[in-house]
Amino acid sequence: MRVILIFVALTVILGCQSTPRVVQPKQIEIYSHISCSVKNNNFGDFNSTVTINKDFSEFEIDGEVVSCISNRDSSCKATRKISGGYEFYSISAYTYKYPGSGFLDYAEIIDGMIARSSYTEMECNRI
Amino acid sequence: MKFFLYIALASFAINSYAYEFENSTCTVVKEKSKSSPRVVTAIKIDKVENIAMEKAAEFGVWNQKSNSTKFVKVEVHIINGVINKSYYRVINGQLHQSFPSGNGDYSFRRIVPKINSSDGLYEIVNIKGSSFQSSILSNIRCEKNLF
Repeated sequence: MRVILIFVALTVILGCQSTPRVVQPKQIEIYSHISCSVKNNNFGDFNSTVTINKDFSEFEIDGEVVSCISNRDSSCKATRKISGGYEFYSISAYTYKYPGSGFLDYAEIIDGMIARSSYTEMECNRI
Repeated sequence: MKFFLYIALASFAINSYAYEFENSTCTVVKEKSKSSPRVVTAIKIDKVENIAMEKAAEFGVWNQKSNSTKFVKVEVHIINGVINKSYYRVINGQLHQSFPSGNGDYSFRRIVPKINSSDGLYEIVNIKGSSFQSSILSNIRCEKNLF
């Protein structure tokens, strides 16, 4: 009986000992840009690929670099001067899943009028 | 004599030119995303009027770069029963407005009416300061002489 009691006590005590946690090394995020291509045009006909800096400070479109006016919460708002007017962008890109998703709101104002507008679902990947 | 006859005929043709979208009623058939609330229930487009810019300045800001003096009264019916009546400027067959809307915002509106087709457009783009603020983008379908 005593032997059984000692066995049970030892089992309980040893069972309660916490095993040392294996600390996972933090994954280094080795990417510098996020590339977003058109997945689905919900509205309009936007068809360019947008490559955004990792820190959402600027993006490249059609070979031209455009600075973000505001860059927070994985999004970028930007304005680009074009002949006769401006292009306005609002881009969100999320890459915590692969492939990531994004949305692009776009409006082209020429001669004081809406010339083109789009709302596009994007597929975004770290590159 | 013939010359004057041609001038008279040309003048008549210009004055009697009817826009296809006149007296049409439009419905929103699709918003820019599934989560967009459907706010507009109907858009009614009246007859086009020729209004001098001095007179037009009494009911709007017309900053569009255009010589058009054609305007059309539009009723936009909203879901809570409110009806917004305002003039749009007709430029190249499209209807345009642009105006400051408070808090540093600037709004642009465009209606591209298409009769018996769901490819028509009703768009609002709001710019805050110098950057994109928001947009309401919808496809519309218009029917002529409905009521």
